[in-house]
Amino acid sequence: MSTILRTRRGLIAAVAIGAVAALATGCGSSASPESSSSGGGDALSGQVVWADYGGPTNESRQVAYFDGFGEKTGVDVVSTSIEDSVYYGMLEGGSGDYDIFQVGAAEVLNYSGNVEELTDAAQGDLLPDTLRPYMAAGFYIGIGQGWLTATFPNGGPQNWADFFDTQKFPGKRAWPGAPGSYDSSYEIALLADGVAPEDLYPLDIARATKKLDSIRGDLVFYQSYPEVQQLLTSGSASIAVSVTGQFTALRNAGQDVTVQYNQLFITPNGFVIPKTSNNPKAAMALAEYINDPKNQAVFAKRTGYGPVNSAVFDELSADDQKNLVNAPAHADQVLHWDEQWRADNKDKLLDAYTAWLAG
Amino acid sequence: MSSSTIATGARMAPVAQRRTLGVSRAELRWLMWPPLLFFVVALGLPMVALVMQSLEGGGAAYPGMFSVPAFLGSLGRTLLMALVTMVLTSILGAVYGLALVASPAWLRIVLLAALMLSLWTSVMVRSFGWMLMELPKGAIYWFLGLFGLADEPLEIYQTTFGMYPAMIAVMLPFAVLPIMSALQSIDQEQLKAASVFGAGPLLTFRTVTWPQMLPSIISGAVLVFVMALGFYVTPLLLGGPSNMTISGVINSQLKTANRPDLGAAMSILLVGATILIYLIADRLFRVSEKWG
Repeated sequence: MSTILRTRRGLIAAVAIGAVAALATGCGSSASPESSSSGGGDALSGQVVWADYGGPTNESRQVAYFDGFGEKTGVDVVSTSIEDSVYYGMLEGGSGDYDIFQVGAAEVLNYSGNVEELTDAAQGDLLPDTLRPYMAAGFYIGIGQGWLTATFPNGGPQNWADFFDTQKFPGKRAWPGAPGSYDSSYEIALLADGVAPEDLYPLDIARATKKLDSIRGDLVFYQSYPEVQQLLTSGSASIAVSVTGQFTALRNAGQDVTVQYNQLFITPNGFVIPKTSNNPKAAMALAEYINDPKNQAVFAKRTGYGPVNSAVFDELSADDQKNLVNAPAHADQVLHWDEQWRADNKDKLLDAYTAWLAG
Repeated sequence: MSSSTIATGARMAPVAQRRTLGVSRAELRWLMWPPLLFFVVALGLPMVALVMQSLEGGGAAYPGMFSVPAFLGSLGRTLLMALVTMVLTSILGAVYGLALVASPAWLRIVLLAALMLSLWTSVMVRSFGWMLMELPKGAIYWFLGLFGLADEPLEIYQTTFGMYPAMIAVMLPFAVLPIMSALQSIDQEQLKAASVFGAGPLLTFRTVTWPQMLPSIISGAVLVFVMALGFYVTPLLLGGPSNMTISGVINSQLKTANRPDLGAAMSILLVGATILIYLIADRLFRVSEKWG
């Protein structure tokens, strides 16, 4: 059946994308990658279908990457909103309409056999060796605690043990409440319970769950990240655990926000080019263009997401670097997930976290 | 099913049928194709696709779904939630329906407009509205604060208690509309006769009004129950994850876990249970006749 569904989906999407492309290029040529036989930049043609989660991050990509790439090569980057069922199908080797799409580290590790290996120029040197050959256009996100600075005038929580101390730091905590958002939840609980960062894995889920239970009554759950901003600004939560992008958004909206970098988890996100991509050559060229430190610096400055390329830091002032999660200044505070262990235990984590949420 | 009903109806009273519709029996058969085709495409194909998806692992998904820890709990919770919503919505719906019919014209328009506006607004928007009200420092807190009544942040957001008002509000139109139409079709002569024979308002209600509105209360209740089985956004937002419904678990299987066969098997169980419950209700209360 999956073939029926995917073919139908693919057909609809293809028609939609075709229509968009026809409009965008004024019915220009849509050459297949095979037709452009010779190597070299000038042979690039057609379009690249780029699938991500949209929003301001996509806008920043348009400014930092897509516009310049289009001018340089004549290849149009068509952005579309990523659909789980389409991208999982492509990760499993099926056909689909994305040429390059967004994934987390776990997906890259689980499905690296079905994605294109990157050229050297497209590889980010700050990525772990296991991800480096496959994850293109990467960026580092952080998951940690933040609050409106005025909430704790004498300084807020210093670590996760403080986060669990509702006497010392009163108020509700905004906490990820969707079944898939087991991001860091167990790690946070174990650190608060006294486990050393280097002893976190394999995660003791039972122990973490017990610790989480102790604070459950003080949690306000959110289903999507932007709710975090609402919960903090309305005063309904005093501290939030979230991706740092939400704190950046609050800061951009004029709020004074403090992010605790101590014990903040950083994890790479990025894109893969599936082996079934319709235009792998142009997608690879785009990945190389994005890996250029000058271009990536524009993106990092706009979004606050950390670069995957160490040369990017040379392009940024100390002030620009202050809010980047993987800036050298934060290096001895932040923590990393064991991406491989999490990838291997994805189902177990999801089931356990769903069961805990459902209580 | 619908085709056989119409066919037998046509056989029993062919002349009357033809006259009232102004079309011949052959034309009638023609007219049935578009709706039939629509349901084959819009309902039949996705269902077949779902069944095939659930069988992709050789049927292992059916026993497999019971090994998902949150599954059974959320199934029981969903049934209970639908039952509570049904009872509360039916009671409120009956009162609302009576008020609609009994109130003066201007008030009736206001009540009806409020009901329709609620029906036309997306469930997501309404749920977010309730969320903004119920937040610990949300609109209710602010309102109580105006009178000096709230000094502590409220504890209703993401509790079971905070979830039901929103769910009843979402479902209310489906309970009120059938009751309203039943009440409006009551023969005024019967009410007059009752009062001529000396019955007070209470006796008139008990012997004339109530028996005629009860069937529509039941059919509205069944509709609400069946729809409440699919609740997802409202309990999740307002009840918090502790009130996770079966739809929430299905969603996580399909979207996050990448176990579409498990999600499909759970969906089929939910659809099957819904059909079974409807058939039992139909058998007991003849619900479908009231909708005809």
